[in-house]
Amino acid sequence: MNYGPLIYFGVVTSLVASWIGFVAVPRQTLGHLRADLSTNAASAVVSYPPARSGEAAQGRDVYQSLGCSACHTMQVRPESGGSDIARGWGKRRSVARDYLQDPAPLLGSSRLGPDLANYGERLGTNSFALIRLYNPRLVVAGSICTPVPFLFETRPIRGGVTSSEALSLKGAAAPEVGSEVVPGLRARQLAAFLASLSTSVDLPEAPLPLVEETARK
Amino acid sequence: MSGSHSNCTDRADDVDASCRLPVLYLFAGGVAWLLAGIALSLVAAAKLQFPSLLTVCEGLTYGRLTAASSSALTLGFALQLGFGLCFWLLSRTGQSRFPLPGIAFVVSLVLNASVTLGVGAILIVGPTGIPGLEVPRQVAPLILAAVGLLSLVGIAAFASSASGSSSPARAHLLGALVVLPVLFVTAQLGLLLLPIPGISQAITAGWFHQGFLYLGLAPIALAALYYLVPLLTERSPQSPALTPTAFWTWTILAGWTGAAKWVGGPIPAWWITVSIVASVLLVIPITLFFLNFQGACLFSRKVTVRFLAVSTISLFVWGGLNAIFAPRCAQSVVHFTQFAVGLRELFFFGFLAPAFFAGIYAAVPKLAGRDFPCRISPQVHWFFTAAGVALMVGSYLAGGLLQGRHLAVAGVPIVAVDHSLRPWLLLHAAGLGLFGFAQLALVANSGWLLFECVKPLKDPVISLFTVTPVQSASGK
Ligand code: HEC
Repeated sequence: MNYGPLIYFGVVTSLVASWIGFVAVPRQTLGHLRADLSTNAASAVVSYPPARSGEAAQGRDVYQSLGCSACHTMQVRPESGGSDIARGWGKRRSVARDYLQDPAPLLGSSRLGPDLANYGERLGTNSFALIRLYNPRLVVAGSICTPVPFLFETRPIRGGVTSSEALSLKGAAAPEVGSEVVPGLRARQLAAFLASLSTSVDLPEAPLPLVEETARK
Repeated sequence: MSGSHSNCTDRADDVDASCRLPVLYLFAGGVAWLLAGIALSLVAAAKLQFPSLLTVCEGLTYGRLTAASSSALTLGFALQLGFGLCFWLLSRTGQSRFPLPGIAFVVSLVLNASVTLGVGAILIVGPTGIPGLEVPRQVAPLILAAVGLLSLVGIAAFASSASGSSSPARAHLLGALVVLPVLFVTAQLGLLLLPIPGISQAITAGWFHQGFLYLGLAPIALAALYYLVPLLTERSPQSPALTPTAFWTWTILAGWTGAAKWVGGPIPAWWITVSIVASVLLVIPITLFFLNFQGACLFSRKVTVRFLAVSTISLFVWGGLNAIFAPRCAQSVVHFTQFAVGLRELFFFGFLAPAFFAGIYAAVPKLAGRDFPCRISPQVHWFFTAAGVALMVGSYLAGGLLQGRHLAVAGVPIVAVDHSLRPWLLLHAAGLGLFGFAQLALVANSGWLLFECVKPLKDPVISLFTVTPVQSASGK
């Protein structure tokens, strides 16, 4: 018997069914989400998620192009589903609306490194962020995070005055006497992107835990 | 009697000769990409042990290496070898000459070139971040065109069959040929050309990636099993009546599994629930496949049969673990760990790759007209393939469970989690190394075979394209 046509149509039908479920329906339902105007606690109207600065938006592309998602997720699971919130990676779970400013969401699937969905909130000064990009091991001993020294420039100190942007590197990491390490354009963009990562906004679908509740813990 | 037998052999030779050029080319390209993918993966593994290695070079960052490696393995190795095997199996099972071998060959050249371009671009420019389609958007259309054309050629081969029969092997092959272009067109349009910002892309990407593995590549491996197990073991399937059930449950369910990996993630829960249910139900077709391929025995004297046995067992174990660790409670333990990577590798290196290798050992002697010259080499290939898979998958499954337990405790810093993972990462790299070493045995043997084939010819390069082999392996 030649079942060719039957198999053909059966396979096409089942594929189309899952196509509707995983391609058409998500586009229809989630594609309509917009960066909403919502009201914050002080009754001021805010747009969430906020648009990224041009520098941070380009930094997102740097992050993607260096494959940082190979070890970092950007999705906080609810308290019931893991230690994410207890680890301080976020105050609430991540929801679909958090990703509206991303041309493509960088969810990641491996956690050899910590979740970065709210890295901007736990970041100290920017130059600290830059040093850890230059060489993570200068900040955290034994880190396997990817160093990106190629985004920095080592150059002679001009006119005897160290640039305000120069990394304060000490000991073995310090450059030769008379030279300094300064971030290049892409390093600054990447740092701006990392600093922009924050989702601690009260949303109807994902409320922030109440302040008293947090204080009690 | 003997006359009809030789007629039969003539016909089989004729059929083999008709698809020889594209199939051998796709096989060679696939194996070369396998080696490249493993090499890239090994450098990435070294970077996990020594992060300060080669840091001056942007192209050799961990993220780019892993993306390049996975593209080399899926688009370079599995896709090309899969198409090659698909063409040979279609010609064989249909007992008809392969139509359009020239076009298939030229398109295969294009596919190979575009994968080269894509992997190179990942290293130089960076990946897209879409699992299964990491190659830059400028290269993806070339790959789509090649996949579309090769699938069309395959469908033409299916349709031109003299017997017109639809054996299980042919049903699976047709399924793969129908699915592959649809997947690539969708990914192309939905993710690269007209993406909607936000999370819907992730759901579509998950659908593409699972679909590519489960509905595009797996059916080709299953077809190899359906064709080769009865042929080589002379044992017919245990329960042939259940074959259609297995085929249809697999085809219908596998497309719905894409969102299972987002338990607790930012996508609406119903997608995740549907995917979990589909993942669990996949044990039904997998059990049926397993029952039907029982003839494939690890202790067979034929090395091809032993490859098929590794493939069958891996699929069964994978199906079980996949079902057990899909539900929310179990998955939250291993979520985001190397366990998930290990499970994917069990499917890829444990199930797909050995079935493809069995295909190579079955097809190449027929296509080249002579047996592989070295008898020991396939044994070495089999042994180190099996050992490599066991070691790399085992270490990631065990290490991943441990990693998951540590990650669940908020007090354990990530650096400490990674530190305790280190020995497992090392074991995994050793397993991958063994697996890679095994492939060298295949490469050496194939090189020797090629040498034997071209030695007697006056002008080897031209003859390769024109001369039909004089002696057939079956006649030996
Ligand atoms: C091989 C896996 C790996 C890759 C690839 C990787 N990281 Fe990391 N990352 C880690 C680990 C492990 C840590 C935790 C140790 C530390 O703080 O350095 C970390 C920490 C970080 C932190 C600090 C997070 C915090 O909570 O303090 C930032 C920021 C970061 N990585 C950024 C990046 C960027 C940007 C890239 C891409 C260039 C990248 N990582 C690639 C493994 C990785």
